[in-house]
Amino acid sequence: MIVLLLFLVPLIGGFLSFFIKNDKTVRTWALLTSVITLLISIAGNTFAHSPGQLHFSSSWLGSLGSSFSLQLDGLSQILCLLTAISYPLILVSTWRSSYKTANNFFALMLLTQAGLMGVFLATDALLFYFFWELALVPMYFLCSGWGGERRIPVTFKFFIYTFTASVLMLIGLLYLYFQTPDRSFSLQSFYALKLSNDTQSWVFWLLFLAFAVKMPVFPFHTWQPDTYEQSPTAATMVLSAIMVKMGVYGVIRWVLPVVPIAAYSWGDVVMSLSVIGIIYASIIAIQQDDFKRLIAYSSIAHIGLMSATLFAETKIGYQGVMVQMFNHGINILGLWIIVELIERQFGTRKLSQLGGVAQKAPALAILFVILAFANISLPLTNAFIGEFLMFSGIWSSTVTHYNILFTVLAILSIILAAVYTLTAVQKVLYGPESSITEGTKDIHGNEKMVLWVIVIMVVVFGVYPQPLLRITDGFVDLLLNKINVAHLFVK
Amino acid sequence: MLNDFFILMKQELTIAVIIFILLFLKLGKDRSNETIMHVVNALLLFNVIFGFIGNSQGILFNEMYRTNPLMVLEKNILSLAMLIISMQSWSWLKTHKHVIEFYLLLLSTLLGMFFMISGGTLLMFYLGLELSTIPLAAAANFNLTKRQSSEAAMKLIISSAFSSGLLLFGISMIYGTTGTLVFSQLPQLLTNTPLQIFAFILLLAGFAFKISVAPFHLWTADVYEGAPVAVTSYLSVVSKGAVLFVFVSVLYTVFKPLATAWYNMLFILSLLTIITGNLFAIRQDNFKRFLAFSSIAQVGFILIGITGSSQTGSTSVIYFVLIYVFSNLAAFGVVSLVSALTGKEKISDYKSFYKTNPVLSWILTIALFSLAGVPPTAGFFGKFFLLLAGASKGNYLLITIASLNMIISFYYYLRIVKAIFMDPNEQPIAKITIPVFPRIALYACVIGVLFIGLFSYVYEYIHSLNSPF
Repeated sequence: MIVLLLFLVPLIGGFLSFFIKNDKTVRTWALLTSVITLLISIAGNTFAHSPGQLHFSSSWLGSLGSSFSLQLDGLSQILCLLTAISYPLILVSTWRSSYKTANNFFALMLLTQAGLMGVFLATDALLFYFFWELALVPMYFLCSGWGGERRIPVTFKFFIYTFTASVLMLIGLLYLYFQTPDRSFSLQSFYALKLSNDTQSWVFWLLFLAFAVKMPVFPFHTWQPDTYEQSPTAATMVLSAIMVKMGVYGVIRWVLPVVPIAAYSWGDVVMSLSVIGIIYASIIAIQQDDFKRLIAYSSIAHIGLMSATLFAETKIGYQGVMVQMFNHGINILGLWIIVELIERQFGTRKLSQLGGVAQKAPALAILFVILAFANISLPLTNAFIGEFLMFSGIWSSTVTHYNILFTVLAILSIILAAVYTLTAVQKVLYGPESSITEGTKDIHGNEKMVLWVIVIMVVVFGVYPQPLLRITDGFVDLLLNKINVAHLFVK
Repeated sequence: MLNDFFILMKQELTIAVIIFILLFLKLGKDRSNETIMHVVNALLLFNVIFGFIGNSQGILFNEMYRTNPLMVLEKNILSLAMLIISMQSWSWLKTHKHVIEFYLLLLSTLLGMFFMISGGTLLMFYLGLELSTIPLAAAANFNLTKRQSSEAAMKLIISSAFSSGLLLFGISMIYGTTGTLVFSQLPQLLTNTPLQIFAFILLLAGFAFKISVAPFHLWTADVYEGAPVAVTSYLSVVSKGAVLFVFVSVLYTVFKPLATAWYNMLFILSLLTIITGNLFAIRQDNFKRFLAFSSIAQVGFILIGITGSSQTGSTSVIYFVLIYVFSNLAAFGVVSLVSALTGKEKISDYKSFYKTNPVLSWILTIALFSLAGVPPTAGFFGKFFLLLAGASKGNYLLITIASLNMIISFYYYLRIVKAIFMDPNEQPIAKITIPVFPRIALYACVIGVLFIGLFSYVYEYIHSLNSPF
């Protein structure tokens, strides 16, 4: 029941939002919906975790072997929790942004949430694909309707890019469907497939491309910085904090256990691409003057590390990915809020035009610096836990011969992250005041509250990550069982 | 016998009765257009409801006529489309001098389609087909003062005459080699001889003309552009749908022995059709021409479903036509309103349409998304099942190319959505107040587009009516 509510509450809330014309009411309504979703998600994590609550299945297209089945296991738990936590934070922190036709905006936001929840919960391939697209369509309207000046070509590119990839995924899923003995779309029957090595290879690429575009992995990333830059900030937050995790999630759920041999044999290629992406994106981030683009590229680097770790196939690495998916979402949310605050106050995102903000806005400075530390994954911040686990995961990997090389190159990302993040901090907060920043006011109200909540989470999960690790612990063991290639070969 | 006759042919009889009522209306004193249209719409609504009551199965007149629940459903889909089109053309017909004649022509074609669907012999099928084409050419000429409209009618009648010729030639050769025209006897007698395959190719070409499969599509765009919007939407939804229904059932039952031959032909034709339709659709600025080419591409997708040759294959085709009725008519409904009230038919006129007509813009957007096949609209499920049926033969090359074409099609549908919502325009189309009937029709279409896909019952029901291949 919990699992169904997680999806239904935002869906119904979203549809109703279309009909609320009053600006204030619709904001409150959207916030209320997202808070209820959060409470449901927490309930699912704490006390309501009997199997009846965490599974839902009803017949959908029986003659085709597809059912409407949702499931909340460790992986879904942590991502649903991330989605549920992010939404109230996003809504509160952008409370003061004004939107034309606010009812449509918030309705689309909530529909996106419903789609995201569906993606994370579905255990039926057809249903999964359906939700995958359902999350994309409202996002397209959000970006192209409320975005910046160049929004139209940019969102066009975004949409065509992701749509192409997901259509290829659809072909892959259809192929798998016809291989199942009982013609079924269910995850179990996909897991039970024993495909030949060659077949696995191209099914792997069909599926992986869709997820690689979404994450994005180098060289499929070109849509991402533009889209982040041109989208309204609330949509950018959803895109970067949650939507990129759809890609990581997809690989874990639909690629690794379904085509384990291909994942093993192509692992080196994907890891190389990811590591190239990490360094490439970090170097570009150093060059950026636009704050939004800087964070966009930094996000590519962080995600690159996750995708590299996915193919290292170690327990410690997977735990790192799980924790880091959550932490990265929280951290980048904080950074976007900072960007939004700066842009709203000064009317620009150009780092070169800013400076000296720290003197007049000490609270902003403190919060920004803590978030910057988290972005560099300094010890005591939550990102340190995740990235440390991931580095050790790649290091101890037995499926690749280049584990040490990959680790060394990946660790460069921390140094490069320090370069670009601290440069940004320095350019914004310190140095002489520019003409724009003369009348700086400190932050207050909603934004301050949200940032504090985020910073507290950064520190708490940096010191005490056990709650997050515990959620996914059981799932990681199961996953490793399914993808253990050595064990497959023995059979 | 007489009882059977009334029960089995109830749908044809209803249409015939409506035609007679309209004739008597014409004979009596002059009535205002609005009265007439109220009466007609009420009768058509009755026709739809009556059609859904009860299913029957049986054969009449030495197998000339046969019916079963699937055919009843197919006819109901067509009746429903007819009702929606009739309601949508309210604004255009309101000022027209010959409303009754218009309905007489369309209803005659509908009757022809019913006979064509139920035809149990090639002869009956051919008669139904002719009855459904010739009045349509007259209807295409119904913008009496426009030269383009006459041109469209001319092109339609000539190209259908040509395709009928091909069909007849094919039929005569089938008869020559087998000695029978009855559908139920043909499969045993078809033995894949070269002459039979040649005859089949001629038949296929005839069909391909009617459903505008490339390379037999050349008449489509001109006719769609010239004909009144009501007739265009009728051509693209009802008449195409009817021929598709027959096409599937004929291929799957009568020409089943030639399955390997037609599988290869359809394979090539479908690719050609999708690619042609897509590439030409990109460059169109006239909305009707655009929809013509988009409908050509859609037919290409339907052919993929047909190549599936399985129960899923025929189900997916009928299901897709049902969805196509709603999504295409929603698009045509908006175009028809705009065209009737402002005379504008170009895509570039639709820039900033959202500012003045938000409701119509959303309807058009939902329709276009459904045509493009984007979830959660029904169009996605339609296309998905077609691809699924096609993939069941293991032909992943076809599926891949078709899927890549979905992306191209996405580009041009999205271009219109972009024009509506985002492109600036000094003089957007003025605010349109939607009359009651078109409003009901449009809302019905939107509800259909949004919900048919999600209620799996519809698909399961059609699936249960289809027999295994």
